[in-house]
Amino acid sequence: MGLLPGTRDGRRARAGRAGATLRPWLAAFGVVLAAVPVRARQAETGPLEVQLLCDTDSVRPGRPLRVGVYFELQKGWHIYWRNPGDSGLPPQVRWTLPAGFQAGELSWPAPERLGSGSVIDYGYQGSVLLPVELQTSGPALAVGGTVTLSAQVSWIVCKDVCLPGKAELKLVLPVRLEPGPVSASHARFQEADARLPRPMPPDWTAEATVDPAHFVLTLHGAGLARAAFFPLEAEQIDNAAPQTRTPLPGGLRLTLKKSDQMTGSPARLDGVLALGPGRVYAVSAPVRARSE
Amino acid sequence: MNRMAFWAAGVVVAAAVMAPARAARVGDKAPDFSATDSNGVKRTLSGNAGKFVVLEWHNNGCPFVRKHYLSGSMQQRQKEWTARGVVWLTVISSAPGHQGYVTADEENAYLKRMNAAPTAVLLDPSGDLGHLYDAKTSPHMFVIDPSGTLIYNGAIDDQPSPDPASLPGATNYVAQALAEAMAGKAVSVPTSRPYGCSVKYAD
Repeated sequence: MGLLPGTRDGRRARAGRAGATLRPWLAAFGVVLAAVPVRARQAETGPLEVQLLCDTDSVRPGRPLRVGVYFELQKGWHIYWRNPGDSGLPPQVRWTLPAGFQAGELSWPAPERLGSGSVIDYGYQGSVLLPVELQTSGPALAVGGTVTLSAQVSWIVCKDVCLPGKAELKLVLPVRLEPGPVSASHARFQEADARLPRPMPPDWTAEATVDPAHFVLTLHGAGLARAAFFPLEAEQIDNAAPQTRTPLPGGLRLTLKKSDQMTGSPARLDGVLALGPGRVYAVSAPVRARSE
Repeated sequence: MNRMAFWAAGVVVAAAVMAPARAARVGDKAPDFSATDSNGVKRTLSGNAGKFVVLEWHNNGCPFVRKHYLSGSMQQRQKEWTARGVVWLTVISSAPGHQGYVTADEENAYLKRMNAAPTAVLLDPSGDLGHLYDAKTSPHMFVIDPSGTLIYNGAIDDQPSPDPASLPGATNYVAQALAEAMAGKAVSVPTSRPYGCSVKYAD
């Protein structure tokens, strides 16, 4: 589905309350409008702007290249984490890269808990950079030439209404042998890094038990008191249920309500533990049935 | 009242209050409800005993819902299954002032315009029915069998996307559950993660 310019769609969405929404011809028109090409590199797309950034100003043949998709959102709007929670969808990126280039997986900074009541989502407000590492072992990277990186990015952005959008982004970089300076975007990568999950410190432990209604995640480590857990799997945790924190000597116990949609019993509880900037950890806790 | 009876009564009260939170579990009895449709008719689940019932959470402004309506896919399912005796109830739990909220007249005009054919549309601006089933998204689908047991709770299909291009080849979990149950088979996918916009409850 195409990009619907925000103000138009917003107006239409508001008109929906008066019942005047969704005339098929108008919606079809919206979809046709979607074909309007967006500017290379940066796209202004209603409630958000999206651009392709690179951590350095040039490509070095054979060296990994760090790029990222950067979203800047208008106040009140959000996009979604890799596990979006109860509604929404994560952004998707499809790369078109020079021969021999290969894109890794998107990295996802720790999200925020969004929404209220019985529907809770995980996502981002304000701005977020989703970094990706590219392998650049191209057959014919001409030093002194340029390479063009292209990404088709699609997303759902929501406030009280949701809008789908997509953009074709391009980034042209010179190919140089010598290490290039960091780019003007370097600070954005540093901000993202502070929110990216890293391995738990070696002296920390995480394990979980399961009973018919709950997971109990027991963590040992320093400074865990305010930890929030974000599940990687969509159907393990009841997102809307409060996470009960019980301080332990040298650790924390988090009681997480099981999702009604979960079938079977998972062998591991995988997620992200967010304690603050620079203190975001990947957790993979083995799950065992609670023996009474 | 002796202490034991008092304690037991307390448990019963607690159970009654707790019931809705877990009532919409597949394999359990689907919770009964009473709601008014867009023609002012009162509809209950118990009044449809002996029939398959589909509940479809709806919001006319949500891009995920629009995928299924602008393509005609949802209307086609409604026609196909109501023709086979299924009671198809579309439910609108948007609170007044929120996206998807409609008056009865607006909804009836919309149904006509979209050529939609559910058995009825239940207007649930209080969100009571939505909360009773813990409906999370639009769409969010439930299938109840003739004995009143919930046999499906989840997404409409296996393509969580607002893109109409995702429809061809999608596995429609509601159609699959109905077809399997009518053939006397177990429902192969009885739950899935519903996808879509959040239901616009009053906070």
